[in-house]
Amino acid sequence: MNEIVVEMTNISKRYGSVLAVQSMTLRIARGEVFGVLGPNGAGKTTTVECAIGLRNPDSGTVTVLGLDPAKDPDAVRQRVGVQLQQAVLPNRMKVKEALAIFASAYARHGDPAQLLEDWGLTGQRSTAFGALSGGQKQRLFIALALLGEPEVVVLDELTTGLDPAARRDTWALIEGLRDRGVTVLLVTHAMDEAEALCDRLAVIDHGQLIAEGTPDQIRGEHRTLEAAYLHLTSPRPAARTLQNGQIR
Amino acid sequence: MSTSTVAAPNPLATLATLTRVETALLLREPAAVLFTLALPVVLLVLNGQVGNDPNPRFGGAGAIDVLMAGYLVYVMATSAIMGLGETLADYRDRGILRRLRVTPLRPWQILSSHALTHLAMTVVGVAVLVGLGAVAYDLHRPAAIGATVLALFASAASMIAIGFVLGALLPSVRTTQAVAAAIYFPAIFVSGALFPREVLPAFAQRIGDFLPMTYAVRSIREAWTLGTVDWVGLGILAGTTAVLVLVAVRMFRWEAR
Repeated sequence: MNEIVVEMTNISKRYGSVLAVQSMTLRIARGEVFGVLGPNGAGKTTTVECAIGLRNPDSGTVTVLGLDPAKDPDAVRQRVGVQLQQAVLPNRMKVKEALAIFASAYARHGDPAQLLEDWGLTGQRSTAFGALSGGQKQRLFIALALLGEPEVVVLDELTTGLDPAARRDTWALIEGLRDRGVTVLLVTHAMDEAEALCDRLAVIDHGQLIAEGTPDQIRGEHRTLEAAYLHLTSPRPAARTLQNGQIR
Repeated sequence: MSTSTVAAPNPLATLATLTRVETALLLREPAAVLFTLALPVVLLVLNGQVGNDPNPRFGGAGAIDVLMAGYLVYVMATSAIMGLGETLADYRDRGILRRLRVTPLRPWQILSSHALTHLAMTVVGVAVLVGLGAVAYDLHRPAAIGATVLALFASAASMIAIGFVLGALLPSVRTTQAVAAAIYFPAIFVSGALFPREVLPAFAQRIGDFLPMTYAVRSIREAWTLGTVDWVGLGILAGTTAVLVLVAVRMFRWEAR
C-alpha cells in the first residue's frame, strides 16, 4: 500500500449523551478515492471532521500528512481542501471575491479562472453568492476546496443539489483529481457515486465502522452495492455480518 | 496567476484582501451606511443655526465644536456596536465562519478585517461631518491635532471592542441585535453623543459616568476645544478596549451552539 496520508486510530467523539463516533480506525493511502457511506446521523461528517482536525476527538489519535491537526492546524489546512455540507458565504460576496480571499490564504494556489472554467462558473465571476443557484453554490464550494491545490480533499455530500449532467461532470473532475494523485475523502449517500468513483469504502452506522473494503468486497454476494449497504445498515444486528470485505 | 507560488502568504496581504472584500460588502449595504451618516448630518444641519460662538454654557467652547465631538462618537458607535456585533453573529449563525475555519485563515485576520472595515467607515464618517461642519457651520480647527487624533482613535477602538464582545458572547443574531440596541440607544442619549451632557438631567449624567462612550465624547471634546489630553478618559477607553478584546478573543466561537 502507498504512503498513508490520513490515519485515525481508535477515535471516539461524544456530543453530550450522543456517542457520535465510537472507536473508529481508518487508514487512507495517498491517491485513493475513499468513500464514507452511512445513513443520516451515522457519524460520517463527525468522522471526516476529526480526520482533518476540525474537531478534536475525545480519545484516539489522528495523523494527516504526517502532522497532528490539533498541534499544527495551519500546516494541515494549507494542504487539505474541504467542501462542507451546507456551507455558506455572505450573500453579497461575489464569486471572484470569494476566490480572492481563499487564494490569499494559501501558500500556493491554482488558477482561479481555470477553476471557474472547470466548474462551469466563468459566467458567474461577478455574481453575488446569494444570487447563485443551489448547483452553482455547490460547484463554487468544490472549486474553493480545490483552490489551494490540496494533497487531500474532503468532499461532504459532493453532488447533493446537482442536476444529473452536472453530477456526471463532477465525477469526471474527481477522476481527474485521482489521476493527479490527489487523495479524496468522499462522504456520500449515493451508491452509484460510491461505486463509480471510490477505490475503497467505509460503511459507518451508529458511529461505528461496520464494513471497509473495495466496492466489490462490500457488495459481496449482493446484486448491487445498494442491497449490500441496506443489509449492512439494517436495524437488525444479526444482519450486520458481512461475508466479504473487512468486518469489524 | 501563478500555479506554484512556494513562499507562504504574507499574513498582512491576506488581511488586506479580506478587508478589501469586507469593505465592498459593507458598501453594498447602502442602507447601513446611510443610517450611520444620515442622522448626524441632519442633526448638524438642524443645530447649525445656533452658530459656533464661544458659549459659557459649554465652558467657553462653541456649540458646533461640542456637538461635533458627540456626532463623531455617534458614527463610531453606530458602525461598531450596531453593525460589527451583528455581522459577526450573522457570520457564525449562517455557518460562514465554519467555512472560513477550514482554510488557513486565522481568527485574528478575520476579526481584524472587520475592525479595519469599521475603522475605514468611521474615517469616512468623520471626514464627512468635519468637512460639512468646517464648510457650512464655522467649525473650529482642533485646538490640538495630535491629542484629537489620539482621542478619536481610542474612541473608535473602544467602540469596535464593544462590537467584538457582543458578536463573540451572544448566542444568536437576534439576541445580538436586541442586546446591541439595548446598550446603544440609551448610551447615545446619556453619553453626550447626541446632545451635550450639559443639557441632560443630573441623573442621566450620573448614568453616563459608567459608559465608555461618555469618555469617548469627553476626550475628543477636550482635545478639540481645549487642546488638553483627557488622560483619565483615554485610560478608561484603553482599559475597556484591552479587556473587551481579550474577552472577545477568548470567547470567540466559530460555530453556533
